[in-house]
Amino acid sequence: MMKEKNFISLLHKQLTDRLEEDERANLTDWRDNSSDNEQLAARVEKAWKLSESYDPSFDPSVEKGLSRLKQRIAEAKEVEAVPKPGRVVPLQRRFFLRIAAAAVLAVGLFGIWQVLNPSVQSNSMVTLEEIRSVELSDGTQVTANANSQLIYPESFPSSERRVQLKGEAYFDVAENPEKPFIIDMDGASVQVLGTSFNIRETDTEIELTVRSGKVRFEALGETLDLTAGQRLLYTIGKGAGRLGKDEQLNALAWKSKQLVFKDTPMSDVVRYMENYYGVDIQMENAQLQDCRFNANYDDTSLDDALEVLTITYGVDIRNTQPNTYILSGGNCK
Amino acid sequence: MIPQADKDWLKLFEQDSERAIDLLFRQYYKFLCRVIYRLLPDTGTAEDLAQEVFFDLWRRKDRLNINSSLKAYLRRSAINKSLNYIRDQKMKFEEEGAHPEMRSRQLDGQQQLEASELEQRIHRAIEGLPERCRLIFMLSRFEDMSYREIATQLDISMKTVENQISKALKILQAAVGSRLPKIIALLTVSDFFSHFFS
Repeated sequence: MMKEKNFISLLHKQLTDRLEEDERANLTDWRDNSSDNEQLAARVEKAWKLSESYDPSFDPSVEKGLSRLKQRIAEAKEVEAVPKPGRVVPLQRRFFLRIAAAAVLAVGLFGIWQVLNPSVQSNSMVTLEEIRSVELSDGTQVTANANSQLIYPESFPSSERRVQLKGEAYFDVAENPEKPFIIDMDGASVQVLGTSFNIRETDTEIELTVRSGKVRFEALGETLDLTAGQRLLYTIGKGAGRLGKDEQLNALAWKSKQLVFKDTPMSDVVRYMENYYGVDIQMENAQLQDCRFNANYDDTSLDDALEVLTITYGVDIRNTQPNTYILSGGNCK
Repeated sequence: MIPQADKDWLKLFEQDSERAIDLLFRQYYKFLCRVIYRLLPDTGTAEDLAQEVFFDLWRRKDRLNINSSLKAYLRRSAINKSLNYIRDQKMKFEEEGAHPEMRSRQLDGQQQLEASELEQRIHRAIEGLPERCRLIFMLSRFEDMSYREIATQLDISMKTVENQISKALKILQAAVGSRLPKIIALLTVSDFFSHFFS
């Protein structure tokens, strides 16, 4: 015996022209069965008809909306020469930079620094297994991650503040609009006036995350301005960048010990966890990549962090070899 | 001059995309806000998502691929943005009942004059539906989506869709049947709410 709600569902199918032929007889029988049924059916039909005129009163301001749209378009145009979020835009190589890159290869970073600035005495800060901080002569604070190298002069010349980085470091640059602060890397540089940001540089890519202020990234003659919360992932070999967001500043986790995920796609979550815990995490189930993950890790161990993934998505985690974790199964829910 | 035919709009897009977007915004912004608001009864969210529709239009101005009418295209885009938003908010959404803004809102005088007493009762009953139930009903009623489409979009089973629509109609037909509209209105927000939201 079918329940009343099943007949209401049949009525709804009829009202939306989706009733199957064999269901039609069923519905007619039910309506004819009692006058209560017939009355209920008539009321459902009437309710459906009357609901058509439902139009909630909501009167947004067109002018306000339009001026907001125009502002957004103007802002977007300002950075139009720049890679759009999520899109990869190749940068054009410039001839002299190719020569510069060749020179870097031949002489080495430190060598070229000496050649270009013979009068400036350079200090080198190399950190091995630990994180180390240094204050530069202008008051800028630099914290370098393990296995990173920073080359900086004891005092800066009058025109600019220039340092060189290999590896990863967090910069809190002392404000000085007269004297730009420039960080040279292999094939790219970052120029600022006074802000804080993180740079992670490897042989293949540079990740730049801005915490406050504005930062100008320069590579192969192209420049890109980043503001707070923005993150650039630049592939050195390809000469191409991908601009995205890191509002929770997870790129700074190595320093802050915090990973904060707010509707963060799993593909990014895994990447930040890999960097922070120094492991390799693979997702066998490609569907997981688009899951939106929410969690707050504060000095959390890798095991605990992984367990949250197990609970949230029902994934299995295998540790097949040291520092490699494979996530399988599970779903976004 | 405001273009009339879609092909004139597309021509204007090629010539002066910003002017085209300006004119389209003036013509369709309110309409899109209301389309979204029916599904997501939060004025701020509705305005944000309608805004996104036009911003997207601007970003894609050089590769627009519109097969339907422009209005249908914008509406479809607004619905897609709403559904994406709902999917992203899913966790929160399932725990909530009817939207507070929706439940407390009163029709203004003009609207009361325009709608018959019975219509008003139905409209109030719609606003009192539990949020998920109301959303599913709206997708069927105003977007003409099938059970299968709704189930796919909201990532729920077809059975759930069917149950929620039956539940909505059951509540709405009760509003038709009652000769005591005030009591029904109260039942809709309190009693029915607690009974049917489980």
